[in-house]
Parts: sequence; structure tokens; C-alpha cells
Amino acid sequence: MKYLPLVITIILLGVLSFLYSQYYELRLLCKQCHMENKTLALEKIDLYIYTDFRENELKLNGKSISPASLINNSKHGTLPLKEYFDNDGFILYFTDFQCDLCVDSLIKTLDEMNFFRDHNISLWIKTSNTRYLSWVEKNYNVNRGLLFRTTPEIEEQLLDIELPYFFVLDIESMRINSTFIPLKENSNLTREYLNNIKEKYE
Amino acid sequence: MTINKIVLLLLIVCVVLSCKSDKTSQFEDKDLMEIYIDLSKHSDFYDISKDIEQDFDIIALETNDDCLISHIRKILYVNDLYYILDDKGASVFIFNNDGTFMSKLDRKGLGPDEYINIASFIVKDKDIWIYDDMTKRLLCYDSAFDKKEEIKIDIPTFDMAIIKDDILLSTNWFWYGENSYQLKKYNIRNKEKTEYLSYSRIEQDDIVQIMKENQFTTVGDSCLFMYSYDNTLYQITADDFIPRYRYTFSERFDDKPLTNQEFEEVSDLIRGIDALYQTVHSIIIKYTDKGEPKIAIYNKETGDCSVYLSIFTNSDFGNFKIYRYFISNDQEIISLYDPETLINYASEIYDNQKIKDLSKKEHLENTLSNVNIADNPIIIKYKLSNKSKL
Repeated sequence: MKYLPLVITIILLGVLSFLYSQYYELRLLCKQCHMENKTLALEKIDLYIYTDFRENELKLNGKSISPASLINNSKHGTLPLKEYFDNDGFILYFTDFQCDLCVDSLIKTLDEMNFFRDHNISLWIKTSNTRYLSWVEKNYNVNRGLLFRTTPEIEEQLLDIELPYFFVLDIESMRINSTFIPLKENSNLTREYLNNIKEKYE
Repeated sequence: MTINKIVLLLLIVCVVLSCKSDKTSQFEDKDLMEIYIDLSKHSDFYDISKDIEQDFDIIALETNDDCLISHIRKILYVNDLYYILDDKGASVFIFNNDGTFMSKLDRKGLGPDEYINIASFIVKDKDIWIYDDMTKRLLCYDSAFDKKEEIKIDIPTFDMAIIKDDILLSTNWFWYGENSYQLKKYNIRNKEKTEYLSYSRIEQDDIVQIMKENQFTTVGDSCLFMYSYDNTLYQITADDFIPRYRYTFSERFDDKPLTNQEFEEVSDLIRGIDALYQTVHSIIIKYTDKGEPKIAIYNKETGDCSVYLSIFTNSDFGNFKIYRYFISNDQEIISLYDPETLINYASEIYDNQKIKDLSKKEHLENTLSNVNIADNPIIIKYKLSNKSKL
């Protein structure tokens, strides 16, 4: 009887230790399950995004644009497309409401790959804010002649998505080709696409 | 006897350890004030002419290659200076009272003292605290833009506010991790982090993530906070964090997580609130109804609440319309206009013939004649008077 409290204490501590170890293991198991779920969820989202991108690219490829559609250039004013483009045009199209970091990384990549210097690239921008055009020109040191402000007439012929994208305007047929919607997280694929464009259209 | 005491002590320790509190479960509903937004109590514009002091500022922000602002995300008026976050350029520009460019925080890069992007910022004394959402860090820069401090904050932050020494950081259900918090507090003095309103990731893919225009609104030493899928406005002070108001709409309000498809469907429903502002007397709740931005103005003293278009107007100044505004802690309405809009759409914004104050009219005309359409925005700053009911 003398040692009963001590025995009870030891048993109590034993039970507590056991319960805690079970709880700890359960937590670990939950964490593992959650990590697996999270990976699965992210993979699902990735797949969803890629599918969405490819579908949009398919929608745009082969679409024709009217050569009479007006476009504005801050250096030369508003003229029909055919007046500005006598060769195939390689275009990056974006708006001032799209993902800033996406636009930023694409323009910097174009610059690094000497597109502004050596290739026929133009930036088509959908914006109601003239200051944004000036900002793009100054911030990225882009020649004003390469900056175009789209008109509603052109915008309705293009895809209205939330991300910037590239395409080639075939001047003979006035059709859109080689559309590519870059994913910010996969810059290697964007570089591969740009290298392909260089090879095909040089 | 000694052994009995040990047993008792162990039991007490067990009981104390099992009583871990959850901050979010301490709240009681009894102190909640009801904000009832009756959509039938609707008027067109709220006229601020009776709420503001007669004199107000019209300031054209200086424009040159060093201070060209692309898009303003947030503006603070502190230390008699305008601090402007350009979210596209990821810079904080500083202009003085007459619009002269003073300096800018522009330390983008991958270096240890640099940031990649600025999601939001606050100013404490002369220090600028920014949250870099790409590296998930809270960074402090002094007035010379040298980095003073850096704190890792894992929760993506959309909005920031400051109450005394507490920096408040908010998110809005944006997290893929196990658990997160809608609100985080970082105390500058004791370097302590506190978290509030825990939540788990919404277990459904393809849910649209909503970014609110303004989640915090401060008056004096008290701040109100809101987030999605919860119709409670929380009050934060240096010592307290309590649910203070609960808003309900008379009809068509349904704030719940939406899939991309549901989000794009045309709906008559009001899907949550977009922004929150407050003055000493009122709480302004901004929301979108059938594509049109609206505001509900709730009077804190009387409990009355009326609905308006989200545009303020100033009948003493040619019915000048105020589309985009921030309400400062010092009870100022800071409104912004692109020169392009003011020049090209002047007749839609104000009636020049109806401007009573001729010196103000002349000042406006002079300001407009000296700007180009691609120049930095024009600020019109109104101070709410002591008699204001807004």
C-alpha cells in the first residue's frame, strides 16, 4: 500500500507517454497525407493550366486578321495594319492589367535574346492609358517604333486571356500562326519557343 | 505525502497543458454591431461638399524619366509626403506636397538587400516596410533606402497596415499549405509575430482566388479588417482583436468560393465586398452589383446605412466626380485622375460652368494646361471637416 501512489504515478506517466506517441504518429501520418494531396492538387492545377493554354493556342492559330484593321503607333500614328507590316510580324501581345512579372520577364528575355535589335518583333499593347506606353518604352528601353496600341477592332480578333502571349502574323495571308502562351514558371520552354521562331523566320 | 504532492503536481501540469487556447475561438457574438445594407435605400452619388473643408489641393505629380508611374496600387500621405506604390514598376515613389518628386525606393534584384516585387507597403516614421510576395519577406528600408531589417513571413500578403508598433499583414484564402492565417501581426519593438483567423486550404481545385482592393482601414489607433467568405468586420487595436461588425445585405448576397466557371457566369448575386474604408463617423463598404461598383455608407453613431454608386461628387466644385480614392488615417480623401482622362473626358467628370470658387477653377485650368496626357496622375486631396457626417 505504501508504494501505491508511486505505482499510480508510473502507470499514469506510461499512459500519457503512450498517448502522446500515438498522437505524434497520427500527426506525422496526416502531414504525409496532406503533402501527397497537395502535390496531387498542384499537379492537377498544372495540367489544367497547360490544357487551357493549348486550347487557346489552337483557337488562335490560323485565324485571319483584316489588313484594314487600324493600329496605333506612338511614333507614326494610327494606320491600317498593312501599312505597318510588309514582312511577317512577330508579336508579343499584352495589356496593362495582366500579370506584371510575366510581362516583365518576357520583355527581358526578348532583350537578352536580342529580339529588339536583330528581329522583327513588335509589342502590341491593349491599354487605355498613354502613360503606360511611355512607361514600357522608358522602363525597357524599347524603340518607340516597335510599340503599338491596339484598337478595339484588332482586340476583338485576338484572344482575351489574362496572360501575355506571342504569335506570328503571316503578312501574305494575314493569318495568325505559331501562337504561344508562356508559363512564367517554365522559362526554358519560352526560350526554346523563341529559338524556334528565330530559326524559322530568319 | 511527498509522493502524493508529486502526483497532484503532475495532474495539474497535465490539466494546464491540455488547456491550450485558440485565439479565434474566444470571440463572442454579443458585442457585434449589425450593419444592414438595404439595397432599396439607393441614391445615385454621395455629395461630399458638406463634409469637406472649403480649401483643397490640386496637385500634378511631377513627371520625368526617373519618376514615371505606371499604375498606382496604393497611396499613403505620411510626414507631409505622398508615398505611391507603383505595382508594375515595383517601386515606391515619394512626392512632396506640391507634387515635386523627392526620391524612390527602387531596389529590385536578387541580392540580399533587394526585393523582387512589392505586394504592399506601410510607412513607420521615415522607414518604408514592404512585403515581397515573391520571396515572402517583410523588408524594412530606411530613408536612404538601405535595408534595416528582414523577416520571413510565409503567408502571402496582399495588404498591410500599421497600428502603433504593430504591422498588420493580410491574405485572403491564398494558400496551398496545411494551415494558414488570414491575418498576421508583427511587432516592430519586440519582434514578435502573432497570427489570427486560422484556416485550411479550400479542398476544391479550380477555385478563383480573390484579391481585395482594400482589406484594412484605419482611424486613429484602430483598424478594421475584412476577408472573403466571412461577413464580419474585425477591429484591431494595439491590445485587442475582436469581431466588431457583421454586415448583411437585404437581398442577393452570396459570398462563397467559386470555381472559374461559376465566376465567369453572369449573375445577379453580390459576390462579397471589394474594399473597406472608414472615417471617424462612417464605414464605407464597396461591392459590385450587376457589374456596377457601389458603396454602402454606414453611420457608426445612428446605425443608418444607405447605398450609392461608388462615385463621390462635389457639388461645390462643378459636380466634380471622384472615381478612384483612398481615405487616409488623417481623414483625407485622396482622389486620383490620369491627365488623359481629365483632358479627354472633362465634360463627363465636371461642369466647368458650375465651379463656384473662381480661384480653384483657375488653378484647375492652369494645372491641366501644364500637363501632357502621358504625365503622372493628378491628385485632388480633400480634408474632411469637423462637421462632416461622412
